[in-house]
Amino acid sequence: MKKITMIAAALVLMLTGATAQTQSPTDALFDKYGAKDGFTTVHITKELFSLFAEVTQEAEGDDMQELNKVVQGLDFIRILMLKDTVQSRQLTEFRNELNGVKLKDFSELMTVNEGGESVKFMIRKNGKNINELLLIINQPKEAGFISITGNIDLKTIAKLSKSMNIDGMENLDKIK
Amino acid sequence: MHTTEVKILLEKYYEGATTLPEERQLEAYLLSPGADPQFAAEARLFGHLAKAKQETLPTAAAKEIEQRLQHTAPNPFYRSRQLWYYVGGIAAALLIFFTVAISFYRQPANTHFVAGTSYTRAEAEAAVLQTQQALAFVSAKWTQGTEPLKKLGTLQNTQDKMQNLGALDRNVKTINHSMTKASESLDELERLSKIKIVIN
Repeated sequence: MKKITMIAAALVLMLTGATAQTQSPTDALFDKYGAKDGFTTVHITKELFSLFAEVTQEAEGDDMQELNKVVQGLDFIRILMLKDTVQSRQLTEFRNELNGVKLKDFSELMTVNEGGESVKFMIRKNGKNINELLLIINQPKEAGFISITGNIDLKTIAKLSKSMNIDGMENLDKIK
Repeated sequence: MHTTEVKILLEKYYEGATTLPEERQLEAYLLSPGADPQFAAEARLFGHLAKAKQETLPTAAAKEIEQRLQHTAPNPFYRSRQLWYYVGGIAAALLIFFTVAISFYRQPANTHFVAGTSYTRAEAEAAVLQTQQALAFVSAKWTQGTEPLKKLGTLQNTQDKMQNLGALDRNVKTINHSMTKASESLDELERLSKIKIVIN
């Protein structure tokens, strides 16, 4: 009986640990602001990643193959961005909240500052593997984050997109 | 019976709180010749009730009613209620089935479900685009951030190359030095040979 209780306790602890590992500190922000006006939210799941090969099979180019390679290891991508539209107070409040998120399991890789824009790269590691990459973005007229979880290969991501000309997040639409 | 007691019992009777012995006691008193005249109305009421109790239905009439009740044909609906339940259940199931089937076939022509999932092709394509853009943004910023480090790496390579050139230069100098030595030796030989010639 005692043995069974101990096994059950160990299982509960393992499950709790696993849950804590998969939760991101940005979850609360995403849940809080996900459905509010003015916010751009994107949440792409593992199930959708598994369809990429099917969807991109007609598309040509090495970048698609690279993209497929990268996403196969991912669990999800979450993006939450707020643009300064009418209520600049809302942006200030959100910015403060974003910068106040406690990232105790994360370590900072680097911060890229350019023309008033700041992009902070944070990673959370599980052993030698990176299991979450978090970009905290502060631009003069928008703020937000990109959270990528799963098995992340920074080298492949770095190679991804020299051909893609992306400067901002303006093309992101809502799909949640 | 004392009138006060009768009044109390009557009050209880009208409230429906009397017991059967109390009712019998009250009835006996009110219907007795010695009842107080102030209870004449109650006495009449109890008299009627007592009379009504004694009235019975004639036996023939009672039998006829009983026979009629027994021979009344049961309502066909209630007789086949069970059947109606089955029919209703089957009808409801068919209705649900056809509703689902019709709604399935009425999907817009341009909506194609991606095999084995609940996503439409349009949604999946939008997700590809979003992912592409997000990762491209990450990649661009990553490259921007690591570019200076690469330049440092290039500088290091250049420095290494310069050091290699320096080593080459030293080697060339050594070779030059050796060549000079060799040349000197040759001159010496030539000088010696000249001397020898002179001797001969």
